[in-house]
Amino acid sequence: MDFRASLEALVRAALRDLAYTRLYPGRVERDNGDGSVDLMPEAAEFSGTLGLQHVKVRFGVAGASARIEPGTRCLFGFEDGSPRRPYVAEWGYAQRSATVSLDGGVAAVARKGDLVDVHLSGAPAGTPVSGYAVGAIQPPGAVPPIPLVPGAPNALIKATLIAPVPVRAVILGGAPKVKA
Amino acid sequence: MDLVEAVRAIVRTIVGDLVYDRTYASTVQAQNDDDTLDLLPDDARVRGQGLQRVPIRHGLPGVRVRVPAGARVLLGFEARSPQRPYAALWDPGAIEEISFDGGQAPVARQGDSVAVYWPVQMTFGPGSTIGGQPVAGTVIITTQSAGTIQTGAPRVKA
Repeated sequence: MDFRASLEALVRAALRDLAYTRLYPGRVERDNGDGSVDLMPEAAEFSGTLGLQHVKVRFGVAGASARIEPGTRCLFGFEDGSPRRPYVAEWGYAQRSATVSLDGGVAAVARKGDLVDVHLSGAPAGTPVSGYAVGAIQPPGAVPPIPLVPGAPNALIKATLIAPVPVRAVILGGAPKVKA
Repeated sequence: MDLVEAVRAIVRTIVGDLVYDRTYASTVQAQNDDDTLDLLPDDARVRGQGLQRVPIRHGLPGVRVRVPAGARVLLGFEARSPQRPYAALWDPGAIEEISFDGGQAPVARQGDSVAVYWPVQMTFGPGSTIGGQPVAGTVIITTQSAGTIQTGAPRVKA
């Protein structure tokens, strides 16, 4: 081996760790449910390997977590350039590729157009309502109607209302630039 | 060629151009309909005439963003290939829209309005009175009522 070849071999040995300072494309094979995924690299440098298991997932949004669907594309790298510390850094977009949670929440985010159930009690108790009636009461017989004036004792309502079906509402407002 | 130059040449042969190992601060010139970006890097080594149709790599799966011209982002190169640029990691700033899982409906928030739809009619329950007098029958609320969302996730805001 001549001098140049020897020097080249030395330099290659000294710089082989540079490979672990880059980000590489990959595809998720399985979400392990513990904040890690198994992935298959899609870079020539990793051809012939059996993939990487239990790769820690990092998110570009603090407080986020996700369940990732198989087939989701990503970029992965190596913390501190160490081959023993791979992590997933970035994600390619695909619909239905993940279920995302913010701050550990488990409740679905409501959206404009989603339905709301307004809770009214059913029979026999019903939902208490109170107020004043407006209009008139028609006693039986040929008697003039009794006018009901708000604030007058004869107009005071103390009742329960029984709704035969659930009362529904729909959300009208929402963040103009955050969609789900 | 002296020894230093020889070593430099060897290193360059082995590692190639380290230019594509780094990320570069860049400015969004435009966002295309397929969500890719036209970028103008700050660094002259990769600027050229700008880079067109650069895909975004998001920090969260299932996310799409629409950003205005002038937004600032890092430009990187997958597997250090100049043919595979990508944009990731944004400077704080305004967005035009962020959506999750292809959704189109605005996210509702505490304080947003709700429209309430009453059943066609409801019945007075036992013991109901008007003016102290027993009343029976049905109530019809003809006007749509309104409400306000009272609660929300304490640490997730929009």
